[in-house]
Amino acid sequence: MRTSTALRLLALGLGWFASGAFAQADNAAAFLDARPAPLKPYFAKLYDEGERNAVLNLQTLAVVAMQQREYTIAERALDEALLRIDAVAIQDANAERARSTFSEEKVKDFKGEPYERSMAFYYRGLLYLRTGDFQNARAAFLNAGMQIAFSRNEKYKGDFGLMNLLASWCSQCDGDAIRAKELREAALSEDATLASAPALGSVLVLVEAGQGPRKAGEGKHKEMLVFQEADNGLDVLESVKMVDGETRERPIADFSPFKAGDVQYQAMNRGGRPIQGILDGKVEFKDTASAVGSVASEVGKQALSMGLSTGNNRLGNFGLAGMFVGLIADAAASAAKPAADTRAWLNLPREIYIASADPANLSGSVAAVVARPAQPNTGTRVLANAKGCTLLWGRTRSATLDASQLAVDPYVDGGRAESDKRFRLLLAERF
Amino acid sequence: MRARSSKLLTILAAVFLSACATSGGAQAPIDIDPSVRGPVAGVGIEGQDIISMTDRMMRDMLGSPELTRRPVTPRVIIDAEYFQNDSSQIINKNAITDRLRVNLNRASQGRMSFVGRQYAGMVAKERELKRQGVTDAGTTGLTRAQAGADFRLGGRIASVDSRNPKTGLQQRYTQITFSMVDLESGMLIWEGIYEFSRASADDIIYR
Repeated sequence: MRTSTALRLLALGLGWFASGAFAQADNAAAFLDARPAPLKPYFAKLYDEGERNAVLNLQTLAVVAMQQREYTIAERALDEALLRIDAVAIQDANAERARSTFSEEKVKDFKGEPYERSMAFYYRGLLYLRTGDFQNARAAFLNAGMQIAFSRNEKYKGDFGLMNLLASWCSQCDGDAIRAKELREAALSEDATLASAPALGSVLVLVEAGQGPRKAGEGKHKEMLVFQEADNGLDVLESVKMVDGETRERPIADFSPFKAGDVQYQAMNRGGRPIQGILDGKVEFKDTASAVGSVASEVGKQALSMGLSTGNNRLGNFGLAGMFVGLIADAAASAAKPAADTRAWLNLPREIYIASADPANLSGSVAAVVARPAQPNTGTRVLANAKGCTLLWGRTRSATLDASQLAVDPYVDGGRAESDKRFRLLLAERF
Repeated sequence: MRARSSKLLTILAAVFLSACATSGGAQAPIDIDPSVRGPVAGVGIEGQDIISMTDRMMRDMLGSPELTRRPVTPRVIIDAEYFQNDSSQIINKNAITDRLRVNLNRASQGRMSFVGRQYAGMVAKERELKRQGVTDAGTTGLTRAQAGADFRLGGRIASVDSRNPKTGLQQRYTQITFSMVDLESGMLIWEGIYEFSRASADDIIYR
């Protein structure tokens, strides 16, 4: 008995080794060893969850990396994410599976909803600003605005005016006053509230406030994707104060922050998703199959009972056939998976405030910006200081996720073994 | 005894199968002709566009008497400094200007000469070392100053985007203009344009 157990354990061990899982764990450890400590949990999740959640995990990692001043990592993470967002899925097997009645929407590779794609371009734009590449920063902000233009609701189509306003600032810093004016006008036409925004000079202050949208599935089968506000996710900024960058105490200047972008609004006012039609079709199938199953089973049961009691074999057989059809229909109903995909980019802000500063205030030590009322994780840094333009960027909330948000997605998809292997090789090469 | 052998065989078979099930490596790299559209494509400028446009501009410039039939070989700067990206596409402009310069330099066979202004800092350092006597003068001799240029490339990448939210169709018109500017008079002695329009729609599950 003992020998048998030992053999089983040995076999399991050998199987695990031969399956490549050992090699993967070994490679993961080696991969994580070389990463900065605060980013290790994010890299671990990225490595474990593979290609299916690549965009989601790369975006999350990028924002934490920006907070940790690991800008090269943030740039590479966003470049990889944007490559995948921009790629047009043609004959993509996972996309086809997501459309299937018997697969959940979440089997697809994550690309995010329009507000999430928009914010990926926004962060890449900030990083281009950091290096003084105003032209590519402008391209990124223009793309950020265009992602929202996919809104199904004409009323809300392309109304993320902040992105054109930032593109305008890029043109201004790049010495293209005409384009700057055009883009500012475009921003105002998209979002009339921006008419009250401060005129942007050579110093731009950006403060990201609060916690961004959360997703949930509503409806009988969780088939309707809804966007919800994060609990206690709202930070209304009363003032933004610039303080000495070293002591973080000596006050240099105060600003009146202006709410220029509302990520929550962008998530909640998009109109229906085209895929909703497919999910509704899955619901209809599930409900119909379930109803057919119930009726067929009941009729079959009654027919069988009557057949047995009256000795009518034909009626009995009919009853058996009905029960069989009922079983098949019930099985089909159970197999239908109409639930909406609720994976969400969790370290997005809820709102984005802007302020314009006098460059004279930037003399002396590097300044930091503190938002009031301050949250425990308030912190801002000079992100860019190139070609006469300076960007100060900060958040009222930390970008880091808690342990439950960092838990590895339990969804396992055996069909991605090869693409995940390629993805992990790519990670080792790129980071 | 027979039962134990049977168990052992079963276990060994399981090990063998688990190894077989996960065998197979990543897809081997494949060579793709850079002048044709690859399997991954979007609506913006791609590798084959860069090859096509720089080849076309090169042929056009070589056919321009203002540039290639001058009594004295003109000095030209071709880099990305004044080549603007005004489009909605994030792009490395050097990929365009570097290919244009390299191919033009090879094909012009002395009809134009090229100034590497992007290397001015490197050249200045070496000139300083030579003049301070830290190094000798080299073999090609000293010049009073770095080479000035007669013409410089300018240009712009522009785009017009449109989207149909109902069909998910995204369309982009991209226009790339090239201008050769006389660095004394500001006259545009040569210009070229490359333009295209592309449309695509992502899968409905991503719209």
